[in-house]
Amino acid sequence: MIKQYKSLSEYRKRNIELLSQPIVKSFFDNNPGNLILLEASEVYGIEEATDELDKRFVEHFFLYRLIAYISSVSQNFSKYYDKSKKKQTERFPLLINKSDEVSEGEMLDYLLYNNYDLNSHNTTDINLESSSIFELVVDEKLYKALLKLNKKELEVIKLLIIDQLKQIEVANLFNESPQSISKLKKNALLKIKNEYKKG
Amino acid sequence: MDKNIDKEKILLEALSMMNPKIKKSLLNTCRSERDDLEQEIKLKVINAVLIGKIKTPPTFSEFKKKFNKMI
Repeated sequence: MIKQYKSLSEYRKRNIELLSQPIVKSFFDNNPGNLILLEASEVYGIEEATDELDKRFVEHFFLYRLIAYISSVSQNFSKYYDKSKKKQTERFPLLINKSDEVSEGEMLDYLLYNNYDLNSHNTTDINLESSSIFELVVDEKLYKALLKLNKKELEVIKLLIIDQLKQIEVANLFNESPQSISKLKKNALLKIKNEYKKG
Repeated sequence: MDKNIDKEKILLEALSMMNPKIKKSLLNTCRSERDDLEQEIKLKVINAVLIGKIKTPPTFSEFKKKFNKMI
């Protein structure tokens, strides 16, 4: 192979633009070993050095491209994702995530959500002493769903969620076991969920 | 030259390096959605590598040739 360069510094002088190119520059700046390979390749014409340099450069460049992609995706996709999630919540305000089982925690959260005026900063202003759960429900769908519950189920739901009684307290009130109260609650929530599923 | 590079290794390195950037972008959405968003972003990136969306770059020799032709 014809020796084009007498030394690495000569190579550098004659290839300033190439070595200033950002990807190339970072390739040699990040790893001084690459400069040694460059010298071996360009000054001494060692083929194995050329091959190794080529391989390392591909890896470096690939990493560079990947980083640029990740940066772009993080920035842009996150905004798009947030926008589409907000739209979804607008269209389906009480969407239940878990398809098969009712997660009681989630259900209760959603029911509570509907009973509080989110525009009011002081939620303690709400009078919770109303006798009927229907007086507190704002959402039409929820109202209709609650109509499907029997008297006992409604009472249990009201006491557990609105009055925030413990299950054992409600059990004592009705003179029943906590298990049967738990069952009542579960069935009531299932009924509500099914009403929502119907659309 | 065989351009067979270890893409998976580079992918892991990139994800590790860019983790702070990804975490920062999670602030663009509400707290309850952040876990899902993080997974979606990482999935997108992994998929991009697997399906070859991130093109295999030229070797140094190839790059040199193209560059010198342009200037």
